[in-house]
Amino acid sequence: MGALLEVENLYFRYHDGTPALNGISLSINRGEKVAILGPNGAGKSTLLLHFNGVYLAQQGKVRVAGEEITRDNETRLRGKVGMVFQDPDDQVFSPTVWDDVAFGPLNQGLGRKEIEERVFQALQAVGMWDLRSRAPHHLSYGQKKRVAIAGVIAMNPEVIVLDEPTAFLDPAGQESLMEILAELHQRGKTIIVATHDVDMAAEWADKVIILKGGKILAQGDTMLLVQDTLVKEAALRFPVVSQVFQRIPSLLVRPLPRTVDEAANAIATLLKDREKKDKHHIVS
Amino acid sequence: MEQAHIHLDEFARLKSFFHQFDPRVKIVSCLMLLVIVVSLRTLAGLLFALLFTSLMIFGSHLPLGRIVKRLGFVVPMLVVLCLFLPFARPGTPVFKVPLGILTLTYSWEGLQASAIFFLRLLCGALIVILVTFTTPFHVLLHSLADLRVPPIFIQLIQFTLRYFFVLYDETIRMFRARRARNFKAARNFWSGRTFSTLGGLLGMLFIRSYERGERVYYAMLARGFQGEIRVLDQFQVRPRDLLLGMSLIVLGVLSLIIDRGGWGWAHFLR
Repeated sequence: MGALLEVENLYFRYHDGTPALNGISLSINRGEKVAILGPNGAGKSTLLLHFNGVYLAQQGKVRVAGEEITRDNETRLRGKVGMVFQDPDDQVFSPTVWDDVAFGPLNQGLGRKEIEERVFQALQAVGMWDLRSRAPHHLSYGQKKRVAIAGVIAMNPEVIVLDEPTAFLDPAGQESLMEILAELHQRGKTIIVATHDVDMAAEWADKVIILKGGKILAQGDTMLLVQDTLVKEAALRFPVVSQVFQRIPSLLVRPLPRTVDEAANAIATLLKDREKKDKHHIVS
Repeated sequence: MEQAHIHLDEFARLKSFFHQFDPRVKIVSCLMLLVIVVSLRTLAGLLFALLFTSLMIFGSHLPLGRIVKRLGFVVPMLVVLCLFLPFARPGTPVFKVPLGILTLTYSWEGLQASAIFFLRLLCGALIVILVTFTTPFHVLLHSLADLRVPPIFIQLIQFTLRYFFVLYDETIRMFRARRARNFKAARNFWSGRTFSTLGGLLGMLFIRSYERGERVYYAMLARGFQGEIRVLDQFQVRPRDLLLGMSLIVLGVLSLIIDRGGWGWAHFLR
């Protein structure tokens, strides 16, 4: 079976002629957790809008489950690729939370029972069921964000795309967002995230795609995040955990740990080695 | 933040016969009642109408203080209007104001006419308040959609309500950001710098709302929007709703009979 989402040589220009994407090719497999990074204006959001056909390819192709997105099938394919926008105020527009989450399923033409069930499940998944009859403008930013995610979950897409999901969230909000993403991934969803949050990408992603100037600079696993030249060129920084190990070259831990777990393991191993050496000392 | 938010329908979740009234039947019957009430022409009919609208408001457990407050938007203007109306009606003078060549006459008939005018509008306002206070706003919009009000109007109201606060916050933030860099509006609105700063702010607000509109539309497209907002019809008309609706209209008709000298007819029936 081929990739779930394929982009082939994609170009895009805005109406005023500004080029945004300059020949992007990538493929994402089912069940992957993908982080797209890159400086401001690298074309991340534009690329995301191609994933579910809000923008149609001007040149090149975007395929979802082997099917190319065209004007004829865009509405159907939007059911397969759900998109959570950066500012929840852009997405959550209905008079109540419940109505907003039901908006997608209603557009899919589902029956009443099915819609009610999906809205219930989606709001449960993000912990907003109790606030279902609230008006969105009475919610906090983090709550609106969760409603926006529920609105996409309710459409039951195979791929969920999130633009800057952690931006402007408080630490607890970020944590609960990561829990929601983990839960979705466990249910077999493919998740794509555009972000500036290097630490989050390092902790979370299986696959990293780095964009710059509308082109792909590199794609691969999180090892990319500790490649010196690449990180500089893409206006990124090393994950905090990696920075600590980088500062003390004598630790000689290679490859550099990128997640908290990796770092903890590395330190534990170092300590064990030290203990062994000390014992050796005493004996001899 | 929470306190700054305006609740249009804060009493809509109370419980009373009028709150449980099916909103579509409620809207239709109250609209008919409204038409009847504003066509009443005598004090007797209007007082009867006022009596039963007030009874309905009592019956629906709404806080009277808030109703008086809401009426406060309408009544003062109305009173001023009614005070001056008698000058415009010829009839038996109550008093006269001589103004050089012309004399203004405050007529008795005019006073009666303004009393009727006042009562009509008061009844009308009370009926509208009764409906809007007992129906949550989104339910009101849904039922208007059910009653075949063109969707464009409903969406217009819905989006205005939703984004008014977003734009309001944006404006406040922009003002704050300018104040943080020591911008002070000059005493004179026409002072060049103030004018150009405020103009820029307004222009910025337009552009921002345009761009937001675009993003909102994209977000709607991304969730499969195809040009019409669909809603689940969640209401069911029960016999008691029809009964209540009918009785409202019967009350209206009754006040119309009283109004048009129906006592005479009652005599005939005997």
